[in-house]
Amino acid sequence: MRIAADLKVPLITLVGPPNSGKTTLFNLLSGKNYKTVNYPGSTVEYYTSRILSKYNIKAELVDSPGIVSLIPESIDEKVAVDSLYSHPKLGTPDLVITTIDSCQLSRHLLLPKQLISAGFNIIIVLTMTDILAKRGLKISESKLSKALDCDVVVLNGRSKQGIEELIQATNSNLERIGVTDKKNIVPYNSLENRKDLIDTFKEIEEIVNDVFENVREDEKIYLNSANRELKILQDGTTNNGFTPDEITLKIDRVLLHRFWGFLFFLIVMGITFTSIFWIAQPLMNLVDELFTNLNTLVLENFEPGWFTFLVSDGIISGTGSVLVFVPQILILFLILGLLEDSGYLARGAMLIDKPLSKIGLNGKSFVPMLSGFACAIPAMIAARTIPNRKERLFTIFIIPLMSCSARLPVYALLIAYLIPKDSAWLGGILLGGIYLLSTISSIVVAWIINKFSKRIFSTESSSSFILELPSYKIPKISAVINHTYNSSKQYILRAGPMILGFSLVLWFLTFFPNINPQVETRVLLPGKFRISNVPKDWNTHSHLI
Amino acid sequence: MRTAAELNYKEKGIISEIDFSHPSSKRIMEHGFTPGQTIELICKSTFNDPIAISIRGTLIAIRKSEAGCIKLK
Repeated sequence: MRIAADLKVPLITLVGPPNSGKTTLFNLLSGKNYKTVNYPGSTVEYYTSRILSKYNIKAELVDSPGIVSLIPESIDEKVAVDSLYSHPKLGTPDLVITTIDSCQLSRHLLLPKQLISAGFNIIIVLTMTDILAKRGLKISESKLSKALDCDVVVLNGRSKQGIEELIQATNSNLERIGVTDKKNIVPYNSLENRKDLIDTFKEIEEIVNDVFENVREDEKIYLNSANRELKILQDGTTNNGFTPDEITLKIDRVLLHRFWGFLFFLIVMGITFTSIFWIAQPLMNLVDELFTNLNTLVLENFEPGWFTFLVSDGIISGTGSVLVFVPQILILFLILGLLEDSGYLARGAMLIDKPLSKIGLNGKSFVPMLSGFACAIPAMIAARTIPNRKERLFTIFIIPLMSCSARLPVYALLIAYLIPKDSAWLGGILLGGIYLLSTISSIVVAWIINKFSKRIFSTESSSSFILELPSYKIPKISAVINHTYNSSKQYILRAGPMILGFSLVLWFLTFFPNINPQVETRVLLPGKFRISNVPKDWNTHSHLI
Repeated sequence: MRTAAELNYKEKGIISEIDFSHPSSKRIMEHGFTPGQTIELICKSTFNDPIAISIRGTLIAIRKSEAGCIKLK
């Protein structure tokens, strides 16, 4: 029995293919400003909220991860579909609102078609109609609504035009349905086979051919000429062949160029790492100094004793060791967010797929591996978008070999110890070398595991890389910053207590066996105050974690 | 018979059938690759693989081994 049903609150779930404007709609309805993700399949957390009170609908609203079809393939898709059918906490939705990119109507209609045949009550929201209008076309809502026998609403995510209509449609649908616990939903495994998929698409094509209308008859439409061209090719068969976004194609001519594309990719990666380490460094030093000073302040002003050491070496240094990584994590999430939102991340995955497949990985391993340089744990979670089990496990095995940011202070300490002060540039090269070595070692390890993998994974489904390359767009800075803030907060809240806890345990273990702690502890923490040219270190034992 | 994997740069083709025996065939069809559709090879990756194909108004990056099950007229 779900809670929502007890309170007689209907459950509305938002479903849609990746990049269809689903999250934007969720933000509009819930008033919460979450990020709109551009890398297919990256909405992972379920955002749930009540619909804004100004819309006067009492309903629980859930945002679900983007899916292409109701028949799942990868683990994350299975999770998404399973929870759509019956969410462990929320139950089965009373109403499904599904978003569709108008420019991709013929692809995106598959999901609503499947939802209808599964028995869900749905409302279709057409997004990006403004882009379609620029091409001189519009979709007839009434025709589409009639063809699919469900409500269709046109919504402009930016101007919020159409939201009133959506609310009205939602209200009338909820009234018609009434909240019941009994729903006749067909399980997805009995939905359809490959042959049926072709038939479904045939039906969709018929609908699509019927619903498109010209904005103005006399208007010059460049698409029409393109279509005419295609029609000759298609030999009289009907055509709904839209061309992808022109500007995207132009940019891709360079960014996916065989030579310049890869060069640009390397430059982007270079800039990413440079900023993670060089821009973050002064900020990290600042945090570091702050906590070292705090530590000294406590040590100077209080009587030396176990409690003083607990506060200074345990709590203050422990907190410092959590917060010192925040600048790096902020910068990494910011850059990843910008790349993701602009649409480049999917291209990066495409460019790196071939080299990665040589060592048993997948282009989709790229983003998790990149995140692994900041922190391994969210990186491992991100690996779930890889459909092939072997490649997914490989990626997870490889991620810890990526030098995560927590190791940076240790490297800095060692480099400061080994390199004379007057040749700091040597330190930079050394640090670069460490990162190169960590990358090379992970490649070698992956290659070795790959060699023996046949013994580990005997019957394995074939490897696959099919990825939608979204149209380029200028990233929404506010959304990226918001997401960066939320991710960093999550890091502090989730990883923070763990690191602090272990830090305290280690402090306890290094402190208490000693009879004369003032002297002995310092010796036990190797090199902490002995090496003269080492920057004031805040907490060595945290790196044991 | 030619397949989508054999398309040249900027070449168009019409899908005649999808090889159902290929493990990725369902996924390929779900992305809109169905018989009768016109596709165009937009670009190839640095190592010639994967390739980016335009289908139903969007770009899909796909490995050549998988594009091989898209048979053309």
